Amino acid sequence: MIGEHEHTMLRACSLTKTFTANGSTTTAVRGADLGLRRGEFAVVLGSPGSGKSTLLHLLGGLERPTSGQIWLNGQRVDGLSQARWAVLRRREIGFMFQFAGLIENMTVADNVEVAALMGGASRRQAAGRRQELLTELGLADLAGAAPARLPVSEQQRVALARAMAARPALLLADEPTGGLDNVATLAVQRLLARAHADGQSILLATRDSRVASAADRVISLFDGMVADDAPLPDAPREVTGPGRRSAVREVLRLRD
Amino acid sequence: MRVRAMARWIRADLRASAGRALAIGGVVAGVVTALLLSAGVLQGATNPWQGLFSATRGAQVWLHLAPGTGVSGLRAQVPGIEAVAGPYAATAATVQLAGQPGSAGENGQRTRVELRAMSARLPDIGRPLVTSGHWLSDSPTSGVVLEATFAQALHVSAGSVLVLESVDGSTRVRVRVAGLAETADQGFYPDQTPGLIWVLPGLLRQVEPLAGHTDEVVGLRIADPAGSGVAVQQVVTQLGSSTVGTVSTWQQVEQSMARRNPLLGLVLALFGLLALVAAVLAIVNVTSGRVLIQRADLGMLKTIGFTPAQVLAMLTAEHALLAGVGVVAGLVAAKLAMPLLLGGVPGVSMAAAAVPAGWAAVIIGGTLAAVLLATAVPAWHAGRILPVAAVRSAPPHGHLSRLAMAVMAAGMPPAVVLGARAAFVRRLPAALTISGLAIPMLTITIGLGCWATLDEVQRSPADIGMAASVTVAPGSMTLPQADRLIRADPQVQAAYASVRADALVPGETATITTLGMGTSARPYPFHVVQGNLYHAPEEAVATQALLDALQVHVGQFVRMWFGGVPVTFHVVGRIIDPQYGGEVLAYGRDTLADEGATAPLGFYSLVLRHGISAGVAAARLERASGGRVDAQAVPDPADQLGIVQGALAGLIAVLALTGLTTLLTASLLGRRDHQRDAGVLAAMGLTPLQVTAALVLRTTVLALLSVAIGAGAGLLIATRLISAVSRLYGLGAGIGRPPSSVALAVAVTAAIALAALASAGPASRSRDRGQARLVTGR
Repeated sequence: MIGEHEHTMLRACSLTKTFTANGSTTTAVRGADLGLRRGEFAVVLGSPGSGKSTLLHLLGGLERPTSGQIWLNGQRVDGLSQARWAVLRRREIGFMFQFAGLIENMTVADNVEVAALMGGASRRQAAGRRQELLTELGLADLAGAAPARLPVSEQQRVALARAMAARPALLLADEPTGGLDNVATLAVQRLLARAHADGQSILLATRDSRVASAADRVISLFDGMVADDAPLPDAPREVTGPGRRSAVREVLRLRD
Repeated sequence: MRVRAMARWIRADLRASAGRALAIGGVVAGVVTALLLSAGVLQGATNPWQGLFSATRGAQVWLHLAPGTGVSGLRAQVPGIEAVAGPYAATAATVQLAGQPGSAGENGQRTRVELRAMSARLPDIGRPLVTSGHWLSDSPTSGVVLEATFAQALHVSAGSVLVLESVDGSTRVRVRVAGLAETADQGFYPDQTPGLIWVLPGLLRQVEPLAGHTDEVVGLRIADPAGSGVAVQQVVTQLGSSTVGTVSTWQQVEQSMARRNPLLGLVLALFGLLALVAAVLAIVNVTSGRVLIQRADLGMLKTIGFTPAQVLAMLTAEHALLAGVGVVAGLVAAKLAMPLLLGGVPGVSMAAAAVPAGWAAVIIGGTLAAVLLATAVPAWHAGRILPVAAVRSAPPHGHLSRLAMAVMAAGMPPAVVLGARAAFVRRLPAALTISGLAIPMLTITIGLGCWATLDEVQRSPADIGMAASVTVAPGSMTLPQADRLIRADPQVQAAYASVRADALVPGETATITTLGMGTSARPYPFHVVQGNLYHAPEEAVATQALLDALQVHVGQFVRMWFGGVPVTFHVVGRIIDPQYGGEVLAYGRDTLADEGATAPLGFYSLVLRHGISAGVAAARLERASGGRVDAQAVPDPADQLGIVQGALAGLIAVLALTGLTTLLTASLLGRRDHQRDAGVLAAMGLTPLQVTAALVLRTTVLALLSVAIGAGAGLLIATRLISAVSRLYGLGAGIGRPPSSVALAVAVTAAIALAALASAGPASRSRDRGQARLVTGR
């Protein structure tokens, strides 16, 4: 089943992550299977502590899975070294953390531009991309600001801009609208929708059903396991999961 | 592009922590300055020839040839000669200080000199280095230029007026001193006599019109300096041995110039090296502390595509940049400070103290390597930080020890217990902080010991054998006349008639200088540190350096020859005397007379009444004698030691800076670790003051511990170390003093107070933040 679709961008098989601390073991992700096609917008839906963040970390190579496999563009990547993962992230994966995670030393502009530069952009291209993203997110005036001084909602949007700065093939976003007010949430949704329309592959973890309603597909996570994986009605793909469960139903209800 | 991204981060990081950047740059600059200065002073003190030789483009071999010897073909005839300096006409003459205008005339002491004719244009090879005034000029009133050490001995400076006289006394010419210059052509005066005066050819002919009394002086720059002996032989063969008067090689000049006081350089070098160790620790501390503080940011960089190697390279580049700036600043500072330092060290000139390029390269390379090494480990750790560190910080954890619980239960304030415990939660940083503070403290304690020793030496120079502050050579007076003159002087407390005699010791190739000081009935008050003073004929005392050289101990007998007369001395004591390179053997003047050895020209060693300036007394005695005696102030150790103390103060400042850097890092780290704790502590019911106290204690406990270790170890080794260094110098053990308790108390209190202050600021800020965090849940 692996690599059967040349359209498959990201595929994870039996992904498991176990943490050991002070002698006790916690399993955050248990045998998760999921796939994402090129250009697809999927949402991982789950309550806090369901393992969404860890799943995204594993898929972005920020953490190494305890077992299981990850395939990116048909290449097996779960065993890559830190350095190889880093190189992969420069162009292929834009990562946006829950709770901002901006480089405190740098201005907003530098945070975005450094990511673009790492993706191989020239200085001029990086500056242009930064301007474009910040304008779209309503942050154009904050280019010179220090991230730590900004309210959380603005930090979140800067982090999203940073994740998209290098025009990554895949955007992994962890709670991009957590802590945002309605206006800011709409701006983020607009940006994601536009990026998606341009063919951006997106995997987004959230507990906000409104954000999920823009997606092609909803994967619901419960206690580290994929409980449901269903395309939304106008999505191009057929149902693959075991059935429609509550989370998806709620998203559907919101769409109507 | 990636390089640009790294540069962006470095720039942002430097801007965000300018204090840290300044501290690292400052520490590196201080260390480089200290090492360069000590290298310069050591070089100037132990091998001044090298610097003078390069600065003057000297010739390795100098020959005095009979007049009219043709040397034009020498380069072609003798292989290996690269260049020929001269020939210059040279003649023997005498010089004396001109009397006051209108006085009866000149009656001062005549000193033999060599006049050497040079033109107004400085030559390419063997080019005298003008240190004050200016070189000869074409004008008829050009004047003369004196070799600098000769001028110093004559108390002559640019602008003084001298009288040159031919050897037979038939011509006398008054001349003005145009300038002073240094040369590598011959040794320092008075090790090398006669003194050297450069004059225009016309003046030379005026003083000594007889061509037959004029030599030709030629300098040879040879391709193989090590083979100067061979070159000399070939030249002598070529020119004929009858035409060659005297020959000197660079080896002889180098040897005669060495044997200066290396103590200052050694002390500085020791401190410089200790400062380097302290600096490395400070940089390790700062960098690893910074990495801990920046875990999240570094994780973020990994997330956006920095590889571990790139993080390592970036941090290394950042520190290399800081180190580079520090090195440049250190070079500039050393350049600026060198004249100040040397101004206080008699007899070491700027050219002589030029740090050889090899040494400078080792110092700069070594410092850079040390900084990079200090950065490498924390940077490597930084490279290994997982990208998730951007969101998942791992605060340190540990458990409350039984001891801590017991102490707390016993009623010790919880703030004290919690603060003290927190200090050791991160073990490696705690160890780094302690060593990073203990080593500067150790060095500062030793420095204070040196300071106390120098203070003691300045207060009572007799303790290092400098009882006499003026020596008087009778000059043109008879001994009884000089004796009367000295006795009449109310400022003289005691005078000891003394002789200086060279003796040959069996098995030794060189002669040693011995001193007959006073008589065995009334010996000169040497500072005896072992045994006793000479109280009978044939008893003698010696310095450690001489005992070492002769391989004898106090109590043994040593036999030597004075011009064919054997004398056996019983060494009854060990003294401290820094003169004559620290190699001194002294005995009663009567011993030589008893044994029938010829007593050479004598001099008087005068002990002045307390508080009398040696320079003033010497000048007054010379005036009182009408310029007939030569009275010299013994170089006052205070002149030199004052500057040593200055250098010590500078080094202590550098060390304090390294300690402070470590301290600030520790407190920043504490602030970060305890941002969360502060809120929790407050929620647990600790008052804001208690919370602050707990956080302040965290750093202060470490400081207390390090200060105790550093000062304790410093006290243990300071006296021993100083004695070991002075033994190396030939003074022997016994001059080391422990640091003054006041100075040490000030240093200890300052260190602890700084620790508390450094953490108090961040602590109160973090308390506020901690509470804010509790509220927002972040």
